[in-house]
Amino acid sequence: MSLRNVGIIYRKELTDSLRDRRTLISSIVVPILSFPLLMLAIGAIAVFVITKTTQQQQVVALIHAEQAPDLAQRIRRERNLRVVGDAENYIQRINDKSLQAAVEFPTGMEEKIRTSPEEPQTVKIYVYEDELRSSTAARAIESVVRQYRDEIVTQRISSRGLEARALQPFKTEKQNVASAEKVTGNVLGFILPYFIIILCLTGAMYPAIDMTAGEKERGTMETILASPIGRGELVFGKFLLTLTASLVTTALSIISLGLTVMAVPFLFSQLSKKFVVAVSIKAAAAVFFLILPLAIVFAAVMMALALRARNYREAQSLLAPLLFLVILPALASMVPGIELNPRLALVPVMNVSLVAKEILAGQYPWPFIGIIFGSTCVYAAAALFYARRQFESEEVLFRI
Amino acid sequence: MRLDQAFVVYRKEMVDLLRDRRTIFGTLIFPLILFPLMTVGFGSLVEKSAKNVRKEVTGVMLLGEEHAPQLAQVLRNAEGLRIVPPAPDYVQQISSKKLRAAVELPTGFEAALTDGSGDPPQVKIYYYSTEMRSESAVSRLEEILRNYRNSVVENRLGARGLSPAVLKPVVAERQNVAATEKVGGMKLASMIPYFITILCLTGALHPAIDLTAGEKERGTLETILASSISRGELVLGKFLMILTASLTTTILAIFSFSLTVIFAKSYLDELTQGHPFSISLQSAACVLLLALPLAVFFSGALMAMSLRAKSYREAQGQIGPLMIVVILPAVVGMLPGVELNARLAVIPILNVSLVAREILTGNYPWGMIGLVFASSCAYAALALSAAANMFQREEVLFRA
Repeated sequence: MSLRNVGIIYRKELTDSLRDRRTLISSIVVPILSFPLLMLAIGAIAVFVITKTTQQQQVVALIHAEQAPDLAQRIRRERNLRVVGDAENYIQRINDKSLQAAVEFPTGMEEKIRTSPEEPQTVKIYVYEDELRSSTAARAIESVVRQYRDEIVTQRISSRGLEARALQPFKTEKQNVASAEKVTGNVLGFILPYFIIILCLTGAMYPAIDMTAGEKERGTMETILASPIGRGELVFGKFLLTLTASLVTTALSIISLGLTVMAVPFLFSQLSKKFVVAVSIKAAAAVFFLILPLAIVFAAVMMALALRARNYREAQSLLAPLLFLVILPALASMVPGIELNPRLALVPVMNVSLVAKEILAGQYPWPFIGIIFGSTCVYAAAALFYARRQFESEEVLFRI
Repeated sequence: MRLDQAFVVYRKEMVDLLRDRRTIFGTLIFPLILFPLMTVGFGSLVEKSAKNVRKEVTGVMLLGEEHAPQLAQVLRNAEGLRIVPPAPDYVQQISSKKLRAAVELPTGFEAALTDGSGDPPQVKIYYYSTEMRSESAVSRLEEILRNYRNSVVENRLGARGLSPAVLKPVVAERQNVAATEKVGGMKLASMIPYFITILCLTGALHPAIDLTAGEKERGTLETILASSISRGELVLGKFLMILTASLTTTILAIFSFSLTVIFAKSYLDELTQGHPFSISLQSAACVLLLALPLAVFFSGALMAMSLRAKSYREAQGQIGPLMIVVILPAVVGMLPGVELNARLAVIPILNVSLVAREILTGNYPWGMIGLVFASSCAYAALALSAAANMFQREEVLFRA
């Protein structure tokens, strides 16, 4: 195999795909831009709607308010609640969402609080479970009740000579001791491996099809086969471009995703507080070296499969199931409790997802990294070998 | 227009589509069978690992044990905790996940508790923020400390002749009054319309392209145009085929999804949080009826769009961005707090999502249903006439 010839094929395919501006835009640029935009738009709408809904006045009815005039008055004074006069059909009204909650006071409540302190009084809050506005109303009512309770308790114990401080014998404080890098890494390790794997796969899909089935469809496959370039050189050149495309798409998507997250700190305020962008160069390099053989597997398998198809469309339907096969093991990084072990370290895709998670969180389990890198390289070699075999079979190349 | 002629076109397209076994297998059967199987398999793996996490005994380090022998004993006896002897490198150990958390008891802790007059002493919990197991160790520790604090408070009250009941003059208790099917259905009810929308679109995608741009690509469009069938009949026949495919995919996918959910029952329980969920025949019929104009709209619009393309691939590139336009309103329809109103009822896609959500939770706002149905029928008619219009234009049909 001459590397020069491989280079020629590579350059030819590169020119070919760069020249087709339209496809380039629709299959690479648009997805890269639109995905973050979509996330952004949905995030912005969600934030807007939820703040609007929760800040809205919630409609509340009081049942037997005369039993607890003091507490009822406090609820009426609460800014976010609007108390309506009648409480008739409250169940019906909560169900059709015209009422967010109803509060029922037990008979003689405030009287009993004064006279029999041993007997706790239960205030019932009727709600529509899981409904956003109803839960907001219930939370506001609960906070009023808690405040009311604290005042009564303070009164009661001070009458016996105890200070409110006596109820707080000690304080508990939790303190994070992991470095910012580790905290961010842990969050990133949760989502990033999945994204990287899926992007590698989808990034290889289009060029893999275009350079095999697409070439057949355009009728240029025969010409290229008739040239003095060896079959191995041909496969390798095409494969390298598929790999390049896959890695470039992945890198661009990750960058665009990262920029989106950083550009909108208001949306991700929860995250960005800890977001000191702290992926070390070492971690990034390690993840890259683990992803590389996986990207090779994807590129080679897709090329081999797509070559079996007669045209672009058929190739697509052949490759679609592959996406399903990859998504679930790639999700492993998001499942709490799945930890690396020697058996899982041999499961393709899942092993990379799990070890990338560890690395991003600052852990370097070297023996596992070795096993995973080694096993993925073996899969990559097998996939490349298979692709090469496909290109040698006349049956596959000239299937009608 | 003769309906029997349109039907001839319909039958021809049907035969065409069914003959392409490979495509049918790849796009329809494979995902429908594989997806449930993998979900079930993966689900059981998740369940198993979650069980392992729960069974795990958490290693916690105790610093300054000598300052609080009593509390230390409580911690030692606590279930699910294993106390590790103190070591100076606890920060290191927590960061590298060898230790879940460390508790630091301040000097003179117990003396301060018995005295009770000074400032409350502070117990510190060191942990790894965002790391799941560390966070769960913290919440376990906080629970134990809370119980210990309560017992200290009780002793203090007892010394003054007060019963612990004085601390609980009032309790607020939430009670759900919404019908159980409304609560259980909440989450599913917002997901189902999203799935239906996306499925209607993706189901129509492949045939819409194949029957227009695909026909151009294969060079058979001219033949069919030259036949004695009128343009309107041709459009109607093709359109009906696309609609059939879209509805079939949707129904099959929902069917396979329900089977998955029934198999993975624990998953369903988690979604509905133990509340029974059932869809009445009436609401299912209503939702399908509302999905019909939506499917018509997608079929017509996709057909009109892909007829402009010269080839299958080009059509795909043009339609790709459309997915974003459809996904956005469908996702917004899932957000809590977005409520149907007269303005939203005329926004295509979003209106169907919102009204389907109401119907699935047992509400039938008939006025809105009518408005949504009418407006989506209007959009459907618009899309269909656009498609018919496209088929009349020579420059679209024979674009070079």
